[in-house]
Amino acid sequence: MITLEEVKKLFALARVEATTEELERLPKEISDILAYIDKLKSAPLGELPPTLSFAPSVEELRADSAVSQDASDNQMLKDQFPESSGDYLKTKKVFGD
Amino acid sequence: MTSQIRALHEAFTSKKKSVAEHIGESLARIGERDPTLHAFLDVHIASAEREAGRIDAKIAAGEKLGVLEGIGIALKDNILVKGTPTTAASQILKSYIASYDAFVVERLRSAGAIIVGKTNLDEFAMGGSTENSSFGPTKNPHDTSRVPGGSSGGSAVAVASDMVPIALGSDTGGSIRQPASFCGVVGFKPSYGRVSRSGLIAMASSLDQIGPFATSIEDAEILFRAIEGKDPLDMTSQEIHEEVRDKKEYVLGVPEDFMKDGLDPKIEKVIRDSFKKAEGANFKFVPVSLKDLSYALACYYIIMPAEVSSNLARFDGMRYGDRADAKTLFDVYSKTKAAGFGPEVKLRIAIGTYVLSHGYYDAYYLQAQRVRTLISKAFDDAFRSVDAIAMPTTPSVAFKLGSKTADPLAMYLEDIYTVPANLAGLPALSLPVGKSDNLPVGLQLVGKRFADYELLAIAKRFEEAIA
Repeated sequence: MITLEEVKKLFALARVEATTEELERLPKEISDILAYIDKLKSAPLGELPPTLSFAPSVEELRADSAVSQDASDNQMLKDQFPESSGDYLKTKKVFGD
Repeated sequence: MTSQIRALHEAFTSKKKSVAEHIGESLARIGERDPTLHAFLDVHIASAEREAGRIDAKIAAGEKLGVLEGIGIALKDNILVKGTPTTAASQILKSYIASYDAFVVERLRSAGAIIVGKTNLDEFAMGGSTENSSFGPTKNPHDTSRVPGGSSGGSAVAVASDMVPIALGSDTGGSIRQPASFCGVVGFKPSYGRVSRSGLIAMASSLDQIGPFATSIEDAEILFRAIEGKDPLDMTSQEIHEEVRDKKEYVLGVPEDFMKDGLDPKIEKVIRDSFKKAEGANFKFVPVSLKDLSYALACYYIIMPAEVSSNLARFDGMRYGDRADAKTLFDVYSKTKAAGFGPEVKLRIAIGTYVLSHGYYDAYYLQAQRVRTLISKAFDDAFRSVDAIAMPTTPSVAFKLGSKTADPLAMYLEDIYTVPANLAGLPALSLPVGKSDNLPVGLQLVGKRFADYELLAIAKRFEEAIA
């Protein structure tokens, strides 16, 4: 059973603020799901290796170079910034506090 | 089933119907049916009418027409169309305007298909009923008190209720096949790597695939042919040259041991009746042992949330989407996500964070990736003696709206038959084969990796056999 404190820690790690309602509901929901996925412990795995991906191994990477874009495309990207000042993207300070 | 695409193409070229008339009919049906069904989040009226006019002018000038040219299509709203809203049915992206076209959209544009609108989904494609959309649920056209399935519920309904002949969805654990089954249409998830995901809002990157909805296998194949292939912007995409030889007899494996889990006996009867019909048309059915697939759902509910928690970290209110007002950067992040994400998304982020955290990584994530190898191997063994696997798409028919929303685990169990193909990267489709209590039942066919056209050929023969 996952505890309330653990759920709070998970939300903090994921940078999501939890509501009181969520903190009441989630310990049980998460515990039920973790109990279900525990059935994997009995899988007959022997020495089987993990399959991390079906993607082909990468032999060729794109050149690390700037891709030129139309001014209108650049403007479209900038228009999406929630807060900006001229060409700058505005955010809270990363260091301090 | 006859091909709607070919019938429309024939009508356009013989001037029995103009593209403008086809698009006009499509928009009229959306206007008439969508207020009840809510399949669409956005309808691109002006651009669709403009495109129709352009193609009609081509026809008038006697130019040759491609098979998809002028055909209306709907896209799941997690696929980017430049200059238009793409929300993934989430509050966090409600004001987002896509700044580029997805690879599949570029392909559709060059084939001349006309994008009619964007369809509803469970938020960020997480769910099996389209009830997790933050813009309200979609209803099943066969019974509006029931769900259409999900997460690509809007695309399935748009096709099933004749609002568009074809649509695209995305499938991470069954999100194309399950709604196709619930709505009585064809839904096809191609092999992992066959269709580029560039411009698809990522959910779980080792599982996500884009694929077609249609009313016939032939239309699904035409649409798949238009969107498959290598794209430098998705390193998992590959160019596959597949030669399909028509076989006199196809052998389909039936996973009798795996199918016992929670299958509604009425669905089982519809499925077995379809086998009987197909036996008369050069299909042979043999039992195959796939009991290791019983671990698939547990495996999926580790790998998928782990990848979700990583992929959704990008929605932090910095570069696009909504941003909450707060004093510190930490608070901007956590309040933005708290306001922008719905309950299911938060639940999966929490589980993903848990299974990837220090001390649990080996026990959960690594263990799940080893189980993935086990499942993949079980399929490889089965494919030594059969051409494809045949089983139900879902354990039950479309359920009532609201009946599973309070129990996430019950909702997850809906994916039990569809998840294995995603874990093994295999092509799989759902084909309507009958009804139970007046609700559609889908047969799922799973093919060999990168034998997508072969799977479609098998499905086409099956479709003819049961017609």
